[in-house]
Amino acid sequence: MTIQQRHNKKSTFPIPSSLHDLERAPYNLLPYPNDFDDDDEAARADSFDALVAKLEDGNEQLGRCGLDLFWGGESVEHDDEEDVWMDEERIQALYTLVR
Amino acid sequence: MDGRRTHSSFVHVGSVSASGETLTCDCFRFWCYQSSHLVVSLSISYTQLIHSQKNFSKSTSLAPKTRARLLTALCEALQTLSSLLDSYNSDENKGNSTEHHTQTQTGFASSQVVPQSFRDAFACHLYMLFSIMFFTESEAKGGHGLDAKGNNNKRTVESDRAEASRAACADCMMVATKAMAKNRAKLWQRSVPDEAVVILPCRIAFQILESATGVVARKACSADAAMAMIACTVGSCTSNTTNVVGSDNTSTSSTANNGLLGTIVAALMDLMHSYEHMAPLCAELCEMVPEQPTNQLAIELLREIGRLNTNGLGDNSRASGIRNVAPFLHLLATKRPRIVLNNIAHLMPHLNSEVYNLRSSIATAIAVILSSEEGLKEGNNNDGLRMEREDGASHEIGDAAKTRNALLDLLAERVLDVSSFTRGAVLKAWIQIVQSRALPVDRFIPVTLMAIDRLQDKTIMARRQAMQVGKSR
Repeated sequence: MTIQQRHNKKSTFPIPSSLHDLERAPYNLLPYPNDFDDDDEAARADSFDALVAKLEDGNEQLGRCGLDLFWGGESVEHDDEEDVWMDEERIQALYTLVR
Repeated sequence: MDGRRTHSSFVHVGSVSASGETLTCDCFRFWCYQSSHLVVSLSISYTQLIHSQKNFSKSTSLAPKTRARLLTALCEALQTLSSLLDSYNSDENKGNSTEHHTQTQTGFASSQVVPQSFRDAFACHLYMLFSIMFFTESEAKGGHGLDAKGNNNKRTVESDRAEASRAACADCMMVATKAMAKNRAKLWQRSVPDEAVVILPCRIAFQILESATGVVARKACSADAAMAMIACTVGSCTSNTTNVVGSDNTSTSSTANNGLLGTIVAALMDLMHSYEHMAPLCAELCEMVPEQPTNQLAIELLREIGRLNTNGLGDNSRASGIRNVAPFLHLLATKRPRIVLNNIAHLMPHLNSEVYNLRSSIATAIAVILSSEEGLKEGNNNDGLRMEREDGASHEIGDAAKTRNALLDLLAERVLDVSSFTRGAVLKAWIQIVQSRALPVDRFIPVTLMAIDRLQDKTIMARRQAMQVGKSR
């Protein structure tokens, strides 16, 4: 992918009309992540804490690397494997916590 | 399916709109699976459903500590993204040879715009913060948040915590609003903003302002921050329209900005119609909006008020909305007399409207204009006064005295208004003019005669005001 293509890439997060629209295309998020443990209240609370911890780790990474995270090193060859900061996991965590 | 998992799901059929947030649902089924046994499936009423859906929002039902951590994490991420956006230009980020090569080849300065992945991250975090704030505001409005039942100490602690979390969210939203306003050219190609993203802070601000009914509520719901968000967005609309004039992007950008401004004006008009406390807030908001090149928000609001259809609303209950809007005119005149004076032509048709509140408010606004230093006060050297037209151009008022006389004539005429309330308001306007020493000498005798005549008025209110005109000096 060239830089120009990267700039013209279609938005992966158009603002939805309602929060629950995030469970439909193009977002296709789940109410809970697949590995969400809710066997009992304690496990549920731990799972929520784990999701928040995931967000905090992401924030730390953002603070450390800054805008480099979004340029992904400009490697043209590894386009499909590019390391995206706001990956599906982070969006899923945000949605599960906020919804 | 995991037999032990308690699972709930919504079946979405109908739709209802609540402050811009669409809740789609008609029938709710709650399935409880326990030890692989289907226990119950039930339907509940629509109202209950909305209530349930609000209560099912995770952000408001999380443990307080987890919720606080979530808010901190979300605000921190958004603030970092905003600061990265601010520093993007000076970074010369990725200003490497590849970038410059692409730029040269395409002739398009792509290095000025952040990557799409950044835009998505920014929009996603902004939307999530918006959603949390939306749920919090809905909860507070429903009386579950700040007015929680319990002993006084517990309620105070909860209120303080809710107030602090609302303030933190509002501050973060403000930072993001400022970043978007300041860095439009970096965030979107050709400075044409994504309206759905830019309007998010305003959408939540409108909801916050709905709750700002008094001094205490205003502080509790961070209404000042909400107004600052709207003012910042409006300021960026007008400044960006001016900045791009002369470039190829003029029409696209100004169309987008006009659309955004139109949306904000329509929402504010709707709020003013619906809530009595909104008129003073809107006047204050107009004061916060940058004056240069023009106070577009105030002008557009005055224009919208001028377009209101007041036919057949005399004593009708439908007039209540317009009654709520009316105070905006004299409140704006108090804060920005020059703007009201420049756009008073839009309001003149309402002097013949059936809603007396509008007529009274216009009369008061005229009195404010005539008695303020910034307006047309007698004795000011206004002959060389330059008035700005709506298109930003300016023209000279040849004779300010002529305008002053026309407005004074109008007030003299209105003292015989059909409504005693308006007659009282007009006489009060005369009192203000006299007391501020703005009455021209040649008007002393006519005004005194008019006051004497009004001593015969059939209502005590008008007679009392007429007496005051005589006593004022």
